[in-house]
Amino acid sequence: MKLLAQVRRVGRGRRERTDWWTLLLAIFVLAGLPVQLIIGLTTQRIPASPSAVPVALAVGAVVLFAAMVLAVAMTLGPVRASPAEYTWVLGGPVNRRSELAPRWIRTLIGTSLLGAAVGAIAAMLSRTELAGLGVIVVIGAGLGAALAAAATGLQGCSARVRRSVQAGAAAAGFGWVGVAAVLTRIGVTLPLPWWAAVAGAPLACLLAVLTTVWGWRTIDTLDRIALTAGNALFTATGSAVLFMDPALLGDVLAQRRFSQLRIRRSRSLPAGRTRALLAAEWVRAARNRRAGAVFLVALLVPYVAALVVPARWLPGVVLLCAVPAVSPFGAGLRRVCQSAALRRMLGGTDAALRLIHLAAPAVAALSLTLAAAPAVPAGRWAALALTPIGVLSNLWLRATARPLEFDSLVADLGFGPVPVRLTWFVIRGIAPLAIVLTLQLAV
Amino acid sequence: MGGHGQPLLQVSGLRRRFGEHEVLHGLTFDVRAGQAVAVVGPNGSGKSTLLQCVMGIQPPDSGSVTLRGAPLVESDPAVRAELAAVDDSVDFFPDLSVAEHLGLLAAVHDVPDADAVVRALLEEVGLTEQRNQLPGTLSSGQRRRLALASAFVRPRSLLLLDEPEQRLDGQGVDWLIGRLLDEKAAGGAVLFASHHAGLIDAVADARCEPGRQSG
Ligand SMILES: Nc1ncnc2c1ncn2[C@@H]1O[C@H](COP(=O)(O)OP(=O)(O)OP(=O)(O)O)[C@@H](O)[C@H]1O
Ligand SMILES: [Mg+2]
Repeated sequence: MKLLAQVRRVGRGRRERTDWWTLLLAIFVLAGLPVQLIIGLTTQRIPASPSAVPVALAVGAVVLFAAMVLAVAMTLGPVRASPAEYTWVLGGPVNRRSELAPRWIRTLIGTSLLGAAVGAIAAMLSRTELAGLGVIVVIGAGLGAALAAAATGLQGCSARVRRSVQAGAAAAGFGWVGVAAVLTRIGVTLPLPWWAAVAGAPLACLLAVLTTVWGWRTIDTLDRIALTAGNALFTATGSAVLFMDPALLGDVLAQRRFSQLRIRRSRSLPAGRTRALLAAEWVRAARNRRAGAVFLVALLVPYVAALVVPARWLPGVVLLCAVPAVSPFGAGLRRVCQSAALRRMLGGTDAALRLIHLAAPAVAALSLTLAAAPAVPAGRWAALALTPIGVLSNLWLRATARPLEFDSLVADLGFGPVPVRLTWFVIRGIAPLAIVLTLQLAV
Repeated sequence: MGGHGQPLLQVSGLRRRFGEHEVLHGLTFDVRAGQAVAVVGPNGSGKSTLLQCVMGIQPPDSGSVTLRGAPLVESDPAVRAELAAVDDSVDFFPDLSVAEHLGLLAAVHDVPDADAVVRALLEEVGLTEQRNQLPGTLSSGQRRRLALASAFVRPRSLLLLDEPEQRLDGQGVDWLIGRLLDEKAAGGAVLFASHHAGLIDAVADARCEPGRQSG
């Protein structure tokens, strides 16, 4: 209460209507979630599996995850230099490797530690005994370093090679998970050969060494384009994580997409206000191939999760997958909400324009929920039905948020200044998700 | 046409200040159908501020703006149907092509035979070759042409233009003069800010100087 009073006092300078009750509720819910998650995971029993198939599933998931990390690392760099750094440091007659190497080595150490940590967490969650844990940690560390180093090696390759490696890695991950999932579903059990686990660790280490040599050789040859290409995306990723607003990253990704998009023939739109606006939304969605791919991947996740996650959590999984899957279909809504000039040009009331542009994301959210329903046991469908509500209110609140102002409305909660408006901005988008997720667990 | 009866747009006693600095000192004028009024004055004299007050984007501190006798409220669909504005804030969907933008605007404003209208307009503003490009890939002059085209593709009774000649080449300005004269001849009203003497002399029936201190 004392804290609250402090917050109030600082906020009083501005006559701003801030909804403290919603804020408190949201904080309460947000704090409750991790606790729920930990309770859920620790009380859940995982049966001891003598079969190789669940292991194959886990390996498939690792491959998929690795493919994703590789793709992200490759779009970001991973070796980057700001334009200024390039001009002033690397543009001169210095040894490029000696400038870039220290940071690169730190990155490798960081990623291998990260890999080890991920491995340790996974091993502990699946109750592996101590020897197994060691092996998995070593594998994690090896793969972590190997991924970063391989991404560096690929940074020096042509765009075509990079694209095909990305596609290949993704296909391998999906294929593997698919096969393992099918085997699990039909109940095939294969005995796990005893050497499989033992061979994993040396293999991962060998991979790490080979890719590190490759990466080390590549650093010298990276040119300006390779070193600076990921900068915009890197900055955007940083702010997206900081403000917990994926739309910030989405904007930069969209920019990249528009610069590559080639339209062969403009579509002609049907007469009539609503029909024309909806048709334009359709054109927009059809033009966004990536949105379709993300949607399909998001749809796959609940089916795979159904094999390992308790039924109680499945609607929540669908909800979390639906957020990135539906977000691209909200591009029109976001634009219309952000641009007063566009609304003036299109005419009609603001509310009508927003509602019309809510149709596409609503259809996407509903179809994802329906398509994911077979993965969820019928007893949990009531919880599943909340998914579109959560996703759409999240989308709506993020789209209609006024642009962030960095101003003096700051609350001191004892551990340093907290920008109230920024906090509110972040919570605004997450609160509906957290509330619906809690409801889904409670239903 | 026009000139008699009630003016289309009436501005009276319009004041706007930013802190201590008063930009509009009680401005009064009106624009009738078939008439073009030029807003003139040096940089920073308040031309854009005036236009934004008329568009309803900026609230005046005092004074009134009325359209056909009723207070002008920007969010009113009836007002949006009559006003077509081109200023620096024009915005497009980043993922619709040039032709699709014009087609969409024509369709939402119920323009009959939209495809033909769009085709003719694209030819007129010289964007036929760029019709399949996204707005983000246009040159700045081409983007200005698209912005102007998006005002001309739809029905309107009042055109509000903030330095419409900006970034246009000589030929483009000649085209714009012709277009605005046609607009007047067809009974449309135009309120435009400009620094282009040729454009002002050719089109304007009256001038309005927001920088001048007046009663
Ligand atoms: N938001 C604002 N806050 C403070 N001052 C402002 C603001 N907007 C405009 N001004 C000031 O009001 C004055 C008029 O600006 P305005 O943009 O209307 O000028 P203008 O006549 O359109 O100039 P130009 O010919 O350069 O386009 C300027 O002195 C400007 O600095
Ligand atoms: Mg101006």
